[in-house]
Amino acid sequence: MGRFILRRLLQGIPTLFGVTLISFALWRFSPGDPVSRLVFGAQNVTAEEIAALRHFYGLDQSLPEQYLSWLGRIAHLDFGQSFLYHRPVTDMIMSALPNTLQLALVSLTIALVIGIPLGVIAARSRGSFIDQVVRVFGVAGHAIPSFWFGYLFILVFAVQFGLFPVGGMLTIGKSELDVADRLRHLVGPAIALSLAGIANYSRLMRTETLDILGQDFIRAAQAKGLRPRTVLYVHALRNALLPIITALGGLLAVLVSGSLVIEQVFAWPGMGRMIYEAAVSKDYPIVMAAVFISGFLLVISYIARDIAYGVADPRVRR
Amino acid sequence: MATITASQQRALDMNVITRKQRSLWMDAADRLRRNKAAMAGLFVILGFALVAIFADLRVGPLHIQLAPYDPTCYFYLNGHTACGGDVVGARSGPPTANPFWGANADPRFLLGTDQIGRDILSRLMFSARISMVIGFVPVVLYFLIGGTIGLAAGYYGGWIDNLLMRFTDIVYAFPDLLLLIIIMATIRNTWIGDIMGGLFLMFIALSIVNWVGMARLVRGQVLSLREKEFVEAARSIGAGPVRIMTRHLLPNSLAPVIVSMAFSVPLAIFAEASLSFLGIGIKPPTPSWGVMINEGFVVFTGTPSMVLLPAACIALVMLAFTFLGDGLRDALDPRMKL
Repeated sequence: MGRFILRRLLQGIPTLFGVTLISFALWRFSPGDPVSRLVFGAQNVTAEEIAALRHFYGLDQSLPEQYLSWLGRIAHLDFGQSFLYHRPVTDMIMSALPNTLQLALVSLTIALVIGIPLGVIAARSRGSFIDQVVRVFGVAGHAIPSFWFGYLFILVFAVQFGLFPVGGMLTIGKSELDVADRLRHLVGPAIALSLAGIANYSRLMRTETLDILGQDFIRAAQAKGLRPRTVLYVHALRNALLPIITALGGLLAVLVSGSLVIEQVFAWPGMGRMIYEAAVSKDYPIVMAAVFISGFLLVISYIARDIAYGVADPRVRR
Repeated sequence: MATITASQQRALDMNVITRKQRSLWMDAADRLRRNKAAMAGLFVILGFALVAIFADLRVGPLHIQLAPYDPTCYFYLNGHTACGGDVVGARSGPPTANPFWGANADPRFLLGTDQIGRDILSRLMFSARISMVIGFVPVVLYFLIGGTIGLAAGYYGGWIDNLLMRFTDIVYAFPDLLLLIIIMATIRNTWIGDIMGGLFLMFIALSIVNWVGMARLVRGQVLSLREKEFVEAARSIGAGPVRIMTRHLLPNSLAPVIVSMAFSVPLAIFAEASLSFLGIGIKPPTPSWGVMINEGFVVFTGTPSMVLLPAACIALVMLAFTFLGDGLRDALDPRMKL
């Protein structure tokens, strides 16, 4: 097991270097000079000032030098200054990340708590009305874009009935610690975001449970005289949950950027919105940091997933 | 009288009872035809495709125009009409005419007009073109890029496999939407972004991000087929690597590839819609459903139809493709009878 973990960790190293290289290349090879963009529109900028700015951002060095010094800085979490806001990127990420995490964790919990039981129930009573409903929802919830749910929610619950706010995280003027107000703002985006998850997990669980229920060891368990409930919840469920681990593998990436569209619909001040605005206004320090952090988290989460798989299924370790 | 092939004639001569030969693909087509949801999906797709083609079709003297108006023409309240170009500051104010169920509906514009007086029905119809093209073209590109890399990695193995797979790992390590947004945002304002109203760049960006899944899928298939007897047989009669890959390995791994391509279509349509919705996809005044949602967003609370109509189109098309993909998977993989 130790060797398996070690090998998997070592395999992650070249990938991580690739991630940093691409983050860097995206910035340096994108059209337009960063400094001319920075001073765009400003008057009375002398050549010396431009040279000083180039020096300040390290742009007067050779590309490999720039890359190495950038690597050195991100090693202690210094992502530089935002071009647009002139604030340290690390600070900006630290203020946006909790908002995204809050939204992502709530919607993920909703998706898992509702999706997994739905899939199991559908598989247990295969062909029944409930099963049909779950199947149709499993396809529809996955196919219909989340912003369509978001807009419908805003239209019905925020505009028509005024039950929930149209967007944002807090009502202006209310206390930061007003939990009820925060929850009211969270309902819309969390529901819109979790519907696709519910659809995905219920579909996955249904297929897996049916697959497992058809296998020999289940028949053996039934033949042994175990209660159907024990067979389903102890023997089948444990095995059927394995693919959910795979589905969770890509989750960290979603935590960082995936809820971007929903954040835009509900004006949620999270990472997705920040990254989007940075990309559009070519605020590269933020973009690079975002690309690096999400790439890093994804690589880590794939390694973690493989290790979790190795723990759950000894055959994978070879 | 049906023609009889030589082998069937021989069978008749020997007085052997034969059945009409049926290929795997014919079986799959039959299974697909029996799947009601998949067929419904297929009809919806065909409907949208027809609308997309005949929205405004000129072939020689033939001119079919399903869309009532030019989607980039403005119809002012005083009866004037202006066409071409994007009006500066166009994104404010209420629509000039509501849909037919609204208060100040105009019989000339069935689904109303937008803030600057463009006919919504025409815009929806022309948008279908973008979605249909964006659904199919990039998926073919994924297949070409990912298929080639997957085949090479799986067939040759060793260091080639290692190199190619580490490379796919790196691309795989970026969240799709994030990479798409960065590519679109950085390159959109160069000349590449102007080709076909941004459509070309979208093909490129989608291909860069999404060939990875296809490469992994094909590689996995090839790995499982590589040691099979029929490949050994082909090699023993002197078939070269390219021939083995294209004539033996690829056709035999096609079923999951087709299913994966079918599921990629709605995802590509969704990606276009999301990017255009964010304002970094298709360039206005070219209409696309995502662009329409983006433009209608400002007046959403007043006239929700401007957002809900294009959103409903996206949802319908994605749903249709997903049902079709589901049907294809069930049809092509008889073991997965669920």
